[in-house]
Amino acid sequence: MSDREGPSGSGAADDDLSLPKATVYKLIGELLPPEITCTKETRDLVIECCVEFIHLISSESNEICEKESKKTISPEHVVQALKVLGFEGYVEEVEEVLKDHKQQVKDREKKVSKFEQSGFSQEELLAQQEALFAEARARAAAAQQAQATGPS
Amino acid sequence: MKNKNKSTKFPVARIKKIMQKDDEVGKVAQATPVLISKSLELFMATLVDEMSKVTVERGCKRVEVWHLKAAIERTEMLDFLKEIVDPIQDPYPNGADEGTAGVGPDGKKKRGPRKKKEPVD
Repeated sequence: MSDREGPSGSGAADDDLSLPKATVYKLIGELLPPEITCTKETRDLVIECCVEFIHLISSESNEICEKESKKTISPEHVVQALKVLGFEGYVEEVEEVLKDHKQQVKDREKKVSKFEQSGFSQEELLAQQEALFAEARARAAAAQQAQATGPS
Repeated sequence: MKNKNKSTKFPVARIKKIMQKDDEVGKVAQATPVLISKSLELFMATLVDEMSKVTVERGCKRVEVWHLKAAIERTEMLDFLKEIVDPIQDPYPNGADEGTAGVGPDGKKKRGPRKKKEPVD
């Protein structure tokens, strides 16, 4: 019944393989000096360059991975690829992100759910939530009344 | 959610897809696209930096495609992009747009038109 992998599903594939324009446009805007703008053609070309960069890094990482007879491209392969390709200047910051990421994964595993941490029973928490709702409703009603009586 | 406030981020899933478009690329560790994403951010900073430098040097306010081409051609790090910008023609090859300081190869003062459309081939 569910043949999602069929050829009919490849319609959106073309667009899928580039980067989201809005994200790239925004980032370009953030990176440009304040008085400088960018033509649309240039922005689209920047996207093309970015996709090319991803291919460059992943293909080099893949080669390094194969040379080590590994099956999965690891973050360390990416770091090595950056060094080989002349982007050693990026390595420090990229390794920082790797450290953060590892920490995040560890935290996620360690984290007991907030519910267990809270130390309240379910009924107590529900009562607390109800109280907060009531408070918010009262605030909203008061604000509405104030607006209705005196629209100064 | 934590990094959202830092700045714009690339979607990791999309990056992984782009990576795996290359048939050679097989399995990818979970953290790998995250690192590529960061590298891409840094790379974009380099690219935008270099191209806007060209724009400023040429006395312009808008980054034109040929500024990007010039930036790629003079920056060693961006060498791999040369093929992409190869078809672009620089209407002001002497390095100054809009005739600000542009002196043509035959010594004639070159004055570009007020608004020049991107050359289409």
